[in-house]
Amino acid sequence: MIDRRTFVQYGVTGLVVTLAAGSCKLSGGGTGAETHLALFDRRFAAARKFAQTTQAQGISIRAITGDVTWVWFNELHPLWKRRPVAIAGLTTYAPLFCLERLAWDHGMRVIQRDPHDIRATNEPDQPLYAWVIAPARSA
Amino acid sequence: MKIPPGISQGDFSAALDKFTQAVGRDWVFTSDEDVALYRDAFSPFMGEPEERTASAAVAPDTVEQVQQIVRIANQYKVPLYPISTGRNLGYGGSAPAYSGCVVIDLKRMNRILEVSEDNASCVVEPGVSYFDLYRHIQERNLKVWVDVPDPGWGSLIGNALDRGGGYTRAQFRNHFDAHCGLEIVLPNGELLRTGMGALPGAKTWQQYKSGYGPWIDGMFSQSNFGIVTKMGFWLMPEPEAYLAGTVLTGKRDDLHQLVKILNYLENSGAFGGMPDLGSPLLGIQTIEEYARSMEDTSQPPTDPELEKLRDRSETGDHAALEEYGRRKSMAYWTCKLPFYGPAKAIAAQWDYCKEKFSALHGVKFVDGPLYRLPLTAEQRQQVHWPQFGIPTLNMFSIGARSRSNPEPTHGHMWFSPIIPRTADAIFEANKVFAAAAREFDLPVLRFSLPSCYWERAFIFIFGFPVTTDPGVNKKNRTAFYKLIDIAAQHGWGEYRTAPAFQDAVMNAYSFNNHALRRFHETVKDAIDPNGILSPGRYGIWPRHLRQAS
Repeated sequence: MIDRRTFVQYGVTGLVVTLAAGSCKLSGGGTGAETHLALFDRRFAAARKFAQTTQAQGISIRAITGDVTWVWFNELHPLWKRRPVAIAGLTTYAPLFCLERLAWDHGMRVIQRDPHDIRATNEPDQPLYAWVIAPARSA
Repeated sequence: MKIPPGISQGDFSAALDKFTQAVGRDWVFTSDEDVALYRDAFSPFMGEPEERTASAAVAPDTVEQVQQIVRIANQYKVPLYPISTGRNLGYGGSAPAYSGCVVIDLKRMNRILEVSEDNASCVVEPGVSYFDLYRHIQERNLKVWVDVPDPGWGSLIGNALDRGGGYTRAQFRNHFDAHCGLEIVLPNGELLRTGMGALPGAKTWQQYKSGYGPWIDGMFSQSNFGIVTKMGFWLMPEPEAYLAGTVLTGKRDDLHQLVKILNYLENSGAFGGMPDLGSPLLGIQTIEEYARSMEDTSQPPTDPELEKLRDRSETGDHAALEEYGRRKSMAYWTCKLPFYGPAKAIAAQWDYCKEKFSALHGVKFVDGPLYRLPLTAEQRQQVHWPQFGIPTLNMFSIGARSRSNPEPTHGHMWFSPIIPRTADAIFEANKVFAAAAREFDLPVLRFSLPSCYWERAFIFIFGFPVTTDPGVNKKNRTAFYKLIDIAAQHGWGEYRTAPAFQDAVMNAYSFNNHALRRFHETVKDAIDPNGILSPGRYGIWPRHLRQAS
């Protein structure tokens, strides 16, 4: 857990998951923050497509199946204990809900949270969210 | 900045200054953005004026700092609300029971002080989560398991003090019962150790629970009598093997004998894991099936004929449903029994259980896989992790949209009455709660089965949705209060509840003109005369707030 008090502004102003015409891609991130990886829910075609484009940008991707436990336990938690690092994703609500609260303890915040219109991609089961969690910046 | 009720701006500022001197400026949080992190994510008053919120938060790192904070709070009469990790969602989260409290966030006190393989025990601070302890055990290849709740991101101490439960052997899955020794900062700032910990230099704090004299540990669970800063737990030695056997029966009335035999076998120690009831014919999944189905977004539709027969069963025609089950080889009831121990021993235990269940006419058995432990990576993907002491966050998919849940919810609040361990009680509770659901315009389940977390009793756990619509939340709150009363009229009480309902549940435990609550209040007034510690938690209010109300 790091000091939340000294963080008042978000540090990754350029990083954003861009939504357009039913697809999304990760862009920006040029203000000194490192994007460590992107999560996608392998059950959804839109998320798989997002993963492809993100990987093509040289960003590591991790697949989940609804549950974020294993990625968080094995990778994100050890990483965030060392330093806060930005991550992005296209997932259902539950992983975002969990990661947001876990990220608070490391001085991180959700800086983007956009519902992704999955009906445009003909996937009726669950709404997806495009999101970015990033370190807050010291004042 | 919010100010605690009845406290002047000057006194509150002075208290915050002293908190800052005690813990450092980085660990006193007063900005709206920081304090908002302590809102209850599943508050049934979400966004309404009645939502219970904190005024500030302070995060100590040591027992001495906790003591200082408590003494300062007494000086200025500032109410405090300690949380371990604040992730008890569905039963309260990190928000106080009394608006305006300063949250004492104990997450920085996250030291694992001891894990003993030989004694199969540990001592931890309140900020240690199940994930933290699991990681500690895994990294050191220790041959002990921690019994985890679902989800496993919360604190061992917080969950045990709320009397939460898990999924392994009976003596470990009741988390408060599995504790051995407490260290507590009392409301006057004094430090107390219970059990053998009261003996200076004791070598057996985590070996012998009750120490000497009245065993007061229970008074610090579901209460506001102190801040637990250390707690010992007995851990489960890693078993050699795991086996699950399933009992299947074909008739509705079989449930009576099934439960009776189940109880006998559990009470006599013939199996140790948590039994899990299901009903394929009624479409009721076991807990394990339910947890695994949350990852599956493509559940097959139900046979329309079966749907019709389930409807007919609701009106008392069970024979047609039973006949369908015979035709399709589908059980009416299933009961999964998990066994932990030496492979030879648990195979013999399962054989003995089958022998006893054979008293049921037409009973069938399914032998589940036998796993030599620890699990392989491949096996881990096939099991319900908490049954193997592995923490997970999978349960948060519970409100997701699915074929059976077309409107995703924001969160949930649990209504959790304890009922007797009989089939009669299951049938009666279903009638009572279904009638109440119809009366209060709640979704009516066809039939529900209780869980077997605790020995000797069943527990029903109904999730009331929390939404972003205040109108819906208000309707659900009203129904929740009514259900507390209805349950009490039938002799059923909740084992735990969120702050919004704690007074109502405490009121239901009213034997002899609320003798229990009056005893709690007598203790509260004696040990916390300023009423600074968690006012209202579990329905225990200090004198000045009782008088105010």
